[in-house]
Amino acid sequence: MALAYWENILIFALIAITLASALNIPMGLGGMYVAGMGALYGVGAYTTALVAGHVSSSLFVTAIAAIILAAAAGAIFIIPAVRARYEYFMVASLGLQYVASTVFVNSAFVGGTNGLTGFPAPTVFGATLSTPNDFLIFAAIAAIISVGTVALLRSSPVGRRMRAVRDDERAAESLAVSPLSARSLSLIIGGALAGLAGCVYAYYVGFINPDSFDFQQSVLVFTMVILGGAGTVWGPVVGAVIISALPPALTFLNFVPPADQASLGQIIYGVLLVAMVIFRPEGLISDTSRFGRKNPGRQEQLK
Amino acid sequence: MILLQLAILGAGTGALLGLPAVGFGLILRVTRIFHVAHGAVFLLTAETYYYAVTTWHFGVPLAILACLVVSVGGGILIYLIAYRPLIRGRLSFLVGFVASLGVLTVITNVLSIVNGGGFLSFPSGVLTTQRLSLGGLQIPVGDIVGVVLGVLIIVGLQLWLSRTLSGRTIRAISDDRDLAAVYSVRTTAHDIVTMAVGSALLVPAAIIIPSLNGVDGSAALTVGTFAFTATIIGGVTSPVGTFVSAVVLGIIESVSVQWLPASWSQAVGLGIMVIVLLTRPGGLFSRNAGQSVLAERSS
Repeated sequence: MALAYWENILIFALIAITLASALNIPMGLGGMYVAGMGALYGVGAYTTALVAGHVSSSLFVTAIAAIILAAAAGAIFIIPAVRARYEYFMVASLGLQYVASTVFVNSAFVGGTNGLTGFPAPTVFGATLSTPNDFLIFAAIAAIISVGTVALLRSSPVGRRMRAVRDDERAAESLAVSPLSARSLSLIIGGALAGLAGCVYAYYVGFINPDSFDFQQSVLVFTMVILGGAGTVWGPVVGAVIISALPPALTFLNFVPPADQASLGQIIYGVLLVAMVIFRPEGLISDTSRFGRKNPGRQEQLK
Repeated sequence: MILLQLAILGAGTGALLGLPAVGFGLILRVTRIFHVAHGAVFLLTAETYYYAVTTWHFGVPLAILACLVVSVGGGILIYLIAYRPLIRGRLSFLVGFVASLGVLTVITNVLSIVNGGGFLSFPSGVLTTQRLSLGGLQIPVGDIVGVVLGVLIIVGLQLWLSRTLSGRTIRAISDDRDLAAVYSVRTTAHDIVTMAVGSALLVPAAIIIPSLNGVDGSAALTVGTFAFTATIIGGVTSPVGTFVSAVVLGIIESVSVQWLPASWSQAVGLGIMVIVLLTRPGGLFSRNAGQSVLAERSS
């Protein structure tokens, strides 16, 4: 019993790590503040449920379909990325998140507000994933892929190009780095990994509805990355663990009436956010203190 | 006929919500903080009015005064606690947005612990029961009051910003905070005035809209979203543009119910916002339409 309880928390934390690391690629490396990860996560989850229900329950088929469709959805965010920067891109992505939520709620083929359920459990080489242990392994693999992608990108030329565009667009352009293609790639990779997270979530929970992929979800992932430290490999992991650990940690406060625990958790989370941005705006883990600062990069020093 | 009726109702709601939107735009323009917690102050003010009238049995004038105190006080407190350290530390937009989200979360959840998070339906008053019949149209007095009040307040605000010393100073800070500080402008004091005015603009909407439709916790996010949608469509530097956009958005969201399910109305507004961001990032009504005021600072 106790073991199953912790296992459940651990699986959700691993999904959160996958998702936060996915956002870390466009946000931390590419400098694109995407406030629409919930929508991409949802595309992955809905694709998983639909493909599993109608086409094939093979884990590989569904996961690949989820990754491809979520990457394609991530590519939609390239449209605002062409013109909008910084806060304007963030607001545009927030707009797209709302539009996506509305589509989830109002489309009959994804079950509307009721969502989707009753799709078969995933199979790997004929074996069916059913126990929590199976899903723990699945979620861990997804998290490793996501964190590993961030680590690989940080030390690869592709990732360096993204960071160069983030820090100084004009300088990067003068070195024949295309800002748009670097940004687009970061959005597509981020979308693909969010799709993977959605796939794990849909299979583990076995029931999905629009509430899990709304504005709140996007903001939650956003804050995980900020809290931990955008652009670092481990920052979003730490942020995801802290935010996922908050609700179960509160259940140990016996004096709080159960009805108020959710609200109290939210209050602690809100205070945490304000305190963080005041005292440590670059995040808990940072390899540079510049992230939260105004006018990042050399332009400030040159003036 | 039904379309005209819907359009008038939408214009009323849009004008009322246009005032918080103008307040949001003013705060964004001066402090550069994306003040999403504005919606939470709306909720706080609306619930203050509810308790003032039902539980504490205040008269209406006293209840309005209480709302004004709560909303202005709330706005100033948020500034002093959460925003001032960020503005002093010259932190980026992103950090201000996250701080504001934190404040939004705290206020809405404290309110939900206080009242159980349920739906509050306000006692009916003159605003809701009285309707004006005009050639077959039924118009609640609340909506008419909203439009008239909205136009008057916007004219007043525009005069304040263009004719008075404090209004001009605030515009100077919004153009270049550092330069204003060099000329020994007291930026913090003017930030506080901006927060106070911006928050006070919430009061008419926070009283009239819940009186017509009731209110629950989700209003914080709905009002905040409407405010930034209208601000970005209209242009951060143009209060009149923001207000006009809010009225038009109100009409579009109300009339679109004829063709689309009601749950689409918010997405329609945000879709328009995304298109405006891509074509005229500075907003439809700003003189400097090709450029966004905010992005200039960031690059």
